[in-house]
Amino acid sequence: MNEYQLQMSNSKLYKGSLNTIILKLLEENTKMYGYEITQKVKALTKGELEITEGALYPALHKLEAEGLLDVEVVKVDNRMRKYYKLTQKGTTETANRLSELESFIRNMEHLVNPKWSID
Amino acid sequence: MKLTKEQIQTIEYALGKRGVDYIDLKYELLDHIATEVEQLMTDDATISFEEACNIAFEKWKGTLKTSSSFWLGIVHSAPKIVIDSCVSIVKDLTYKLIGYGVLISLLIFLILKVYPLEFSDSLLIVIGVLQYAIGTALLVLFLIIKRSNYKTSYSFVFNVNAIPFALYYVLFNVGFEFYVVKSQDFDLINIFIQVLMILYPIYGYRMFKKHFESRKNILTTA
Repeated sequence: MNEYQLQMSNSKLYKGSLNTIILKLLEENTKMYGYEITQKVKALTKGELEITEGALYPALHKLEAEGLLDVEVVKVDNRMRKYYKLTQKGTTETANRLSELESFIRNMEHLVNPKWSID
Repeated sequence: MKLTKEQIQTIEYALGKRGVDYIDLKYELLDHIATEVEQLMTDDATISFEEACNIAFEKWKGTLKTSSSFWLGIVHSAPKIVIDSCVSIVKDLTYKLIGYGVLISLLIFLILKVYPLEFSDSLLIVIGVLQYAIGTALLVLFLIIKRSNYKTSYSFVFNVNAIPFALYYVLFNVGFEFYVVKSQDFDLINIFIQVLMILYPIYGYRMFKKHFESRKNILTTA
């Protein structure tokens, strides 16, 4: 499997949602650092979804460059730790992307599992 | 299990050996790998620091391998994570330059269509001298970055972009044969090139500023 894909059998389906996953986690946790994000995703999906470092950091840097994330560097245990948090623009964008993702999931559900009714 | 200062330095040295000496990325990767090593040593008390390091670095193998990109010019290589970060910066820069460039060029083109203007030779000389000045300023910024004695992904992008641009400004104006055409030859392409030449230094300067801001963030924390 390519290093830059999420480590999961159907990684292509998840790859397009990586930024939204990051934004959603930051919305819920105020501020997070890279390793913490990978572990949180792993824990929430019971180990089924694992974000590789090679995919995570370029995504974080891109979101930062787009002005959706702000950074805060803190000294922790003899080293620097870079925390990411949502900007105002990032908060608005998270809501938009989540609504887009929800709509996508709903449509997929209709397509994959259509419910027929008489009326 | 917390790592000692010496163990952190060992990881930092290993990253440096792999070419991760871009400070905006190095400290972030250092923290990630150190946290991972700590976790491995906490989960399994029998594992040594060296063994934990080997496991952690093995996971980063693909991300740290030497790579290059069309976006930066294939002659420039660095660890894949650095290249990816730089490509992200360059893409953003390119799309904005082209986007704003096209909009401004169209506007100027339309204005010139409605109100045809004659450009005097002295104005063309002023524009040519301005381009020389921009080229020289970019070269000065390049030297200031070089003197800073540290690297960031922004300095990487600045170096691969600004120098060709700086030379372009100077070479196209050699002998004051300015690359500024007379008003009757002002087609959209010519206007677009001139607009890009005016817009680029704004982005070049932004890269320059970001390079020093990256360092400031780290120094403030340390």
